[in-house]
Amino acid sequence: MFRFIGQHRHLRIGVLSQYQDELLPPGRRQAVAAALERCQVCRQELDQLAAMLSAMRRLPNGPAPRSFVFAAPPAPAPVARASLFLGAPRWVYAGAVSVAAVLLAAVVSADLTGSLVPQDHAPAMRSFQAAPAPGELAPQETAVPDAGQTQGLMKSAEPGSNGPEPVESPQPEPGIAVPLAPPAQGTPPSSEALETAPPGLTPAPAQETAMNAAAWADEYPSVAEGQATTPLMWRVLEGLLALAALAGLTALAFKMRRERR
Amino acid sequence: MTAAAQVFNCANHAPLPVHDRAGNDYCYNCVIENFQAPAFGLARRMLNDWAMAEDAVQESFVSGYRAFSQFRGQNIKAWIMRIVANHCRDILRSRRARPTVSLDPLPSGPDDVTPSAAEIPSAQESPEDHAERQELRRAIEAGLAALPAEQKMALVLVDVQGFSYDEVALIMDCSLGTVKSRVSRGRGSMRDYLRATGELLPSQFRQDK
Ligand SMILES: [Zn+2]
Ligand SMILES: [Zn+2]
Repeated sequence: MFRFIGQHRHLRIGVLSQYQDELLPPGRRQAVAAALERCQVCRQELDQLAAMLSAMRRLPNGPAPRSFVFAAPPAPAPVARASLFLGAPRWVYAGAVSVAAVLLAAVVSADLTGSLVPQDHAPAMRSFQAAPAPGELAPQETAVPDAGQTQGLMKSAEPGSNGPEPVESPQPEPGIAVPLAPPAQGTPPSSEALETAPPGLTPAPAQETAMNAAAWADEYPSVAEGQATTPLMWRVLEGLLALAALAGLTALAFKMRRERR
Repeated sequence: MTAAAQVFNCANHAPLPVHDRAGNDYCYNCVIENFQAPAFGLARRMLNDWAMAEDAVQESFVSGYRAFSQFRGQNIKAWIMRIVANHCRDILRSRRARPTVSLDPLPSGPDDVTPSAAEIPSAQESPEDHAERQELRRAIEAGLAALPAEQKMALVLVDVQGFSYDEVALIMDCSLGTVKSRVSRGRGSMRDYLRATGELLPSQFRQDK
């Protein structure tokens, strides 16, 4: 309650402790010395601390109950002291490897079965909206031929232009070929199909392309969107998991070899 | 044996040559003879068990022998004590993990403290003084036993064994500030304990001045 006497606050054990050990910086030390001179309570505290420390210093350390000297050199250990990497018990590494392997298997199998791509088909839906339904495509396009479509016509007539390719390209097979093809085209096939479709002249191929694009987008929505972020993330995760499993196995192997010796 | 080993005296044992990382030679048995007392003093207080402390010190010296080539040749006492400290920590940790293994409870009072082999009255001490000192000594050992492990280790190293704060930071593998705070808190707890048991009274500290 009455820890304060005027401006004085009794010195705490930590301060007295450091004063006793001469660990305080000179200015602080002087202030403490001055406080000790004025306050008897603090002096008494310091005296008690000093008494305690002197008694502790006189505690016996030994002698040891017996001599620990070696009659013969102890068997040498191959690697002297366990490093942090190999310091944990064996089951830690085994457990870590198992967990990493199980996770890796789960991610890879999910990846192979295609269940890693987002389950909502929002990108596919947008593709469907972008590509007009087969029924309304022809009338709309013939009714309003505009500059963009003329450009599209000219573009499709140009040799070497990549315009007509989506029209002619067959239904992409699932596998390696598909994810590679769209990025080379630059733009998703659905918009490409709209641009390049000559109004009125070839409605059937345009329809087919739109449908193909929609189907393709449905099957590979994120790739169709031109953003491969989700698969990339999973690839990185697979790589990390594989690395973790490998590192754990290596550590385990090292540890077992060391322990056998 | 070269310069570093010549300061040792191999009278009581077979020389056991070892080399540190800096290329100095030592007799490891001389190292043991020099530091087994503080090593055992620390282990006994950390583990509260003589037999376990004996094993811990033996195992620590084996570890030290195997790891000697990693010693950089600076402070060999601190280096040995660090191995002992780490080994005691490992034992305490495994004891916590398997509580059924713990056979000896903490001493509940001064009477439970294992008597020290060094409790011989000195020549200039009256029997009364000696008895009083023994009483205080027991109380302090009991107070140490009641401290949390890290505070106890800091207090034993600094206040009982006289290591510097810097050395204790090395031994305990922590910062200087951590050592200071552990010592401060340990001393505070010890003072409170001694006051509670009536061992720290003004009449007693006068004789120590
Ligand atoms: Zn005061
Ligand atoms: Zn020797």
